[in-house]
Amino acid sequence: MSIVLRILLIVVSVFAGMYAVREIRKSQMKIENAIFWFVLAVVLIILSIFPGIVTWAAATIGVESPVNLIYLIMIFLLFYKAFSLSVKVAQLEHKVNILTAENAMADKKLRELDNEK
Amino acid sequence: MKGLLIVIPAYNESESIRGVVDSLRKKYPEYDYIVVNDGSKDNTADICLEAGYNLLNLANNSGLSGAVQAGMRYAYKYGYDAVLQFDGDGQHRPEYIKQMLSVINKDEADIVIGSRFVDEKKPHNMRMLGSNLISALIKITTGKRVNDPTSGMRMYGRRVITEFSRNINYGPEPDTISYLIRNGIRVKEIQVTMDERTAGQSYLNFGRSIKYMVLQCFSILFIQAFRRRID
Repeated sequence: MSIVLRILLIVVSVFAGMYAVREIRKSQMKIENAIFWFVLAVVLIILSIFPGIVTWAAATIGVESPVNLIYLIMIFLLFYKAFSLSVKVAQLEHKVNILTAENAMADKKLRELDNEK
Repeated sequence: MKGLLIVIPAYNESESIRGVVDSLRKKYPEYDYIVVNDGSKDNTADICLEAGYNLLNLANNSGLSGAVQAGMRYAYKYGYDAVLQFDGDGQHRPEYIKQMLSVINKDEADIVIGSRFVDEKKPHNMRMLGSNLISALIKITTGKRVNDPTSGMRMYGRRVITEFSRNINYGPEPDTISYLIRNGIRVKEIQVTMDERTAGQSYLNFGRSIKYMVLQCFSILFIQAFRRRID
């Protein structure tokens, strides 16, 4: 990995980590979700500081250029994140629909009580 | 025993809802009904409130499956034995309800489909090509023949109401039917005649129809086989 790329990775990771911490402090994000991004940033920083790890791993697996291994890992992680988010969205949509139905039933009951008065 | 609940999902049906519900109330007062207004942008809700219809007024647009599910929850909560899904646009004729209900009451089936093609032949057009394709896929995957899988006039018995009221992926569509058949639910078709819609526009334009077909075919062939039934 070139020195420029390493510096770039470190800078971006530091910002990503800081951003995650900031969102936690503002209570915009659940801690469990922020930890994913925080750990990702820390791992990237470590790999940029000690690129020997990546070079060794790439050679062992048979990836020609070490930086490609970094891309590959990131793509895997993002796939996982996108998949788990789509599961989460479906569950949330289902829950919203159930609540909407329950709310409509309560609304009907209220109207009936109002009419009885 | 609380009998039948007619669930009428309505999305932007201000022009036709009055005709549909009024004729039901006048000619068939023995059946309970509920209009499920699915977050319509027009004044469907106001019309229903003014006329004093039984109304579930959904605050969000939940889609057809969400609207039917809301009706199922209502039926489950108040202990109905059967639910009929009945369009708010005037396509479905109430005179077939009695015959469909007797199938449920005699426990001959858990789902009764008001089918246009039990005795009648399918006309040859694009839409029926799609219907044939779905029929063929259901036949291949379940071994059962469903002549009119896309019919929106369906009656559900007690055995399935609970599931429909609770679970995810229970849209009132052919893929759910195929999945339920595979899990031992009995489906029967009754010959009905349907009318052209009296007002409003069909939800399915050409692009949506294609999307619907692809989704249904893919779902019946590949997804439903992997589903596990939660009872």
